[in-house]
Amino acid sequence: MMNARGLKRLPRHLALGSVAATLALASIVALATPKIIILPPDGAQLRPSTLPGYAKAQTNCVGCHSAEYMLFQPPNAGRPYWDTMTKRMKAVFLAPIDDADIAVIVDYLAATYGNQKP
Amino acid sequence: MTLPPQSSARRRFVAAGLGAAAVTGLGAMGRSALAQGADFEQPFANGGRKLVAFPEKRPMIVLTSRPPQLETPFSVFNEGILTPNDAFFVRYHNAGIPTSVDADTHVINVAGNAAGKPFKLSVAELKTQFRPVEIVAVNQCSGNSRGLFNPRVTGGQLANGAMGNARWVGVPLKDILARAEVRNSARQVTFDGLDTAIRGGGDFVKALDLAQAMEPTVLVAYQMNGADLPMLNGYPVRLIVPGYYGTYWVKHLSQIEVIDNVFDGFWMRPAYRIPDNDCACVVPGTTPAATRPIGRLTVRSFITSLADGQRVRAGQSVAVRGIAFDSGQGIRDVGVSIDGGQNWRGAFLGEDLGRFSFREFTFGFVPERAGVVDIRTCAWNRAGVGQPTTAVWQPAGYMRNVVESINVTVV
Repeated sequence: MMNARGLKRLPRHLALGSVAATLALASIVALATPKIIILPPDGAQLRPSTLPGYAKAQTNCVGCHSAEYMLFQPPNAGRPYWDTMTKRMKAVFLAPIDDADIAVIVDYLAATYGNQKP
Repeated sequence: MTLPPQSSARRRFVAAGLGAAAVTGLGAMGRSALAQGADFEQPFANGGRKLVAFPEKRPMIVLTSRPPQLETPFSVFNEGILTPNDAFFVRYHNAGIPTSVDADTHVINVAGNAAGKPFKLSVAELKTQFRPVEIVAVNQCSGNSRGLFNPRVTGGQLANGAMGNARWVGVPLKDILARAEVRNSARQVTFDGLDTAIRGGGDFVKALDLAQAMEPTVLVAYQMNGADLPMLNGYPVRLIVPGYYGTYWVKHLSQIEVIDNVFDGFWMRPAYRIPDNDCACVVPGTTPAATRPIGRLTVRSFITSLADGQRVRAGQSVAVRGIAFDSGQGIRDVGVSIDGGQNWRGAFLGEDLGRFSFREFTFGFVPERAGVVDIRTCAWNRAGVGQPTTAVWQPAGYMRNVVESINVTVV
């Protein structure tokens, strides 16, 4: 029966020591193959640009995540957003970005994906 | 915010012929349009997406491919009250996701400085040494519907498909914690899974206050809709926190720590915070003065059998189906309006699968003449909480629950 919380108690899988218990445990343990998945390739690449930040972004950004993270931001994503994200990627996620390259990468992202698009 | 009048929603109504009318299908959004590799357009600017079948999944809307973030095409919610495993949404935070997991060797480590008796738990022990329970519960991403915010906010641009309802089987977390002999000093319980951050920073770890963690509905689940969890939904075990946003439903659960302090890892602070006020909202474009961790789901309702822009015939009965849910009070009423929110009547509620589940609702109407009909739905839970008629706003784009509107064209 379902209780007031929406929870339904199920029978125990086994009473320890019984033959049924041994068989049940054996059947659980016997499902031994690991589950393996193969993921599809990235669905988007960084947009090419003549800005120097394009090469920096290829080196520093898409090693850890695919380019949809940039591509799908809303049209009003402004420079402060790209600046905050680039700094967060370094400070929190330890992206290997030289401090001198942060502004270069932000220039590329804001011009390519943000509201500074031409 | 204003709500549709509650009293009028309690009156039931049905148009003549509802019983005989077939629930209208989603013409243009049928399954043939949802093929592998197909283009998909979200209902907001810059909403072009692809549909791709990831492992154990049918073609889903790709928000990001690495790590996988997959949104359920909304027409799936009209297939039934439970969301199929192969269409259930996927959300990861770091790209170091497990691609090979052996359930026979997987171990959950139960530890922490407020655990008197730390221990390790195998999946077989989880399944055999505790009494399992079953619950039907909605998992909804905090940022579900973020792409519909106005003004737009940055982050994962989702429409309404980052939610799902499943029948989960697992062991109450409180029973596992009891074996760890929780000390009086315990304040929070933290949860970590097999997924890792690529460069070691920002591992996805979440925390619940001890009282939340001890709620009997919080489970370490190993079964979803009668099957093993899909890998991308947390195989072999994940945390289930009914009534709370999906951010707490940690996948591939491998580490539980009972701690004597408040955990403040990145994904608890500053991430996943909401304005610390009653509406969890601020004036659009402004920053909240104070924040708190996101918590319980808000009340929502959606029509699933009609898509925006769909055509219906004048003079012919239209049978409409939808879903409603809240954070676990349970849905008491669903009001429907076929005049853009001027007048409200009550829909019929379907089978009750438990108070954390989607609740089906149905109603019928006969469009009398050609034109556009603005159909809206508003649910109330058993605590009398409903949905706002105008959307509230917050900078992170969480917790959207405005009364939804669908325009159908009567021809």
